[in-house]
Amino acid sequence: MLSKGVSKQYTILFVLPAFLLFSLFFIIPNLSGFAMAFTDWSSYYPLKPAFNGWTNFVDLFQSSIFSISIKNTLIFTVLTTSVKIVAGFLLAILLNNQIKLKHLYRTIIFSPIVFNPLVIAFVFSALYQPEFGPINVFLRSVGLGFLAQEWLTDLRFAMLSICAMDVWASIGITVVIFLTGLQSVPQEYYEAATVDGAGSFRRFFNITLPLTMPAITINFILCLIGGAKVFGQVFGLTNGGPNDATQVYGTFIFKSFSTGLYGYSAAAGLLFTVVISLVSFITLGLFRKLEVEY
Amino acid sequence: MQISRLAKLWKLFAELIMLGVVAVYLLPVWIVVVNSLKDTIHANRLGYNWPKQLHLDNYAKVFEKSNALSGIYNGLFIGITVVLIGGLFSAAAAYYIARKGTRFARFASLYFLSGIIIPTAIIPTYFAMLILDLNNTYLGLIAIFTTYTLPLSVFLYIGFLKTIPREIDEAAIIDGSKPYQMFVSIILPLLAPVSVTVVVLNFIGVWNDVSTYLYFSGGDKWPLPMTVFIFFGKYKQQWDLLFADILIATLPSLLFFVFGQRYMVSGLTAGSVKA
Repeated sequence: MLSKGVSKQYTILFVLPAFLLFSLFFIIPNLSGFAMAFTDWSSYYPLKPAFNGWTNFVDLFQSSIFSISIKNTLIFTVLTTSVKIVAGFLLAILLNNQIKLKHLYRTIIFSPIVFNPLVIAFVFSALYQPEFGPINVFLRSVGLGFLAQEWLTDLRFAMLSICAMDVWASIGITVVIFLTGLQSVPQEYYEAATVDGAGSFRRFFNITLPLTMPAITINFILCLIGGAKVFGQVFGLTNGGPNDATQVYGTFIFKSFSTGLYGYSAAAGLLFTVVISLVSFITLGLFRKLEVEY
Repeated sequence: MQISRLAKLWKLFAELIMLGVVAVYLLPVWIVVVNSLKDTIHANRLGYNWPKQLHLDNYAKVFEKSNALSGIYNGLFIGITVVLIGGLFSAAAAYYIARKGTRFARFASLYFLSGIIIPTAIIPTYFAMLILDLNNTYLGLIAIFTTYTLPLSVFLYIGFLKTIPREIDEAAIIDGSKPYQMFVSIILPLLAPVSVTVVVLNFIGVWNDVSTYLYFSGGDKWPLPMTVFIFFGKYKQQWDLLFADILIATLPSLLFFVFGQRYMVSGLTAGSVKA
């Protein structure tokens, strides 16, 4: 217990500025979202929202763009998360070896983190161009012209192209976090296991995997939340088109917001907040159980 | 003998894969650079080849036509203000939370950390900003961004404060330090290592944000990277200018990355390994 003289030093005024700001612009908006989602608030009467019951939610579930955006967000999240986790782990294992220039490689893969997603999307819109785009030009030049596609307008490939760009842009974070996890595993464990005759597969499954569980947890949650929140990448690359076929949750809310349907957008936002929070807390709990003490 | 050959093969394989991966990262950059130096007709072919004639005037044109200067001003002004205020507020809050064992301190800790997982409620925030008349103002943007930096900053500061022994506080109290004096002259300097991480992460977050600017402000308040969006609207299909604009807009980020990379790594990996 702190003595009275010491305890007095930590006055509540230290925490108050942050607490008030956070309450005003994060907690209160989040709580009022529960009310706002049930109003007809719109840009026509911006300061006079009136309650309209479940109308917004009924409208949402009847909207085909809403269901497309949920489907696309799921596709995006599942695809990018699984690729980033698997390929990111493999790249981290490669980079954890005695490879020449491994610091340079790591730096290069990590570097897109400082670029604005919109800017990355604009560059990729050039790379994906059907006629002169470097991807199709490359495919044709190596005799794989039949693989050249209209990457952003063909509905079979548009979402995949967005996913590929996102993996390019943010797998660096996954790799760096895995690398830190791998480097924190005590080297003696591997030596002891080798002495006991464990092969590389057993070493991986019995040492590496369980001991890097915290890194896997963090990566999984970061990819999951990042995937569900995707906005700038899609906004810059396709802006939800063609014909709303690549609309994701974030761009859907922005589109509804831009048309002035605030209550409707708030309802969509509320659903998002509730689902993401639940999924995150549950995943966090599940993964924490898989972690081991050492 | 056989094992070492296998190990060598494996190493060769790893090197080759890494070279391929790096090519996937560097080729787009190369395409942006070479085509930013061509004339429009050649740049629109998006080729790999080095230009026969260097069109360095593309850069002058872009600087004239884009909002680069106001973008730099907005980005620096908003970013630096947010980083300073957010850093100070979160360090002070973390100090209280880490040192004081009261129930309110534990509640405050959870209160801030909830912001790491729970998404921001943008539309209701828009309403709050409307009531406060803060939409499309620097003050509004600074207030929101500062709020959004708090959870991770408080988290990082609490983790670091736990490694600073309490005896330092106690010695300062015996020497007669007042609360604020102690925080400012003793604790804050000790927080310098983690402060660099907090500052770097928050600044790059604010600099590169997309949705907050789109929802809460117009183009005249946007930072440099977002000005590319305006430029793209005006000069569609002129890839020489577009690429030059992209390069101008990403150069500060790249410089920032060179200096800030290791702090970003340490900030992102905090908590990903056994504490």
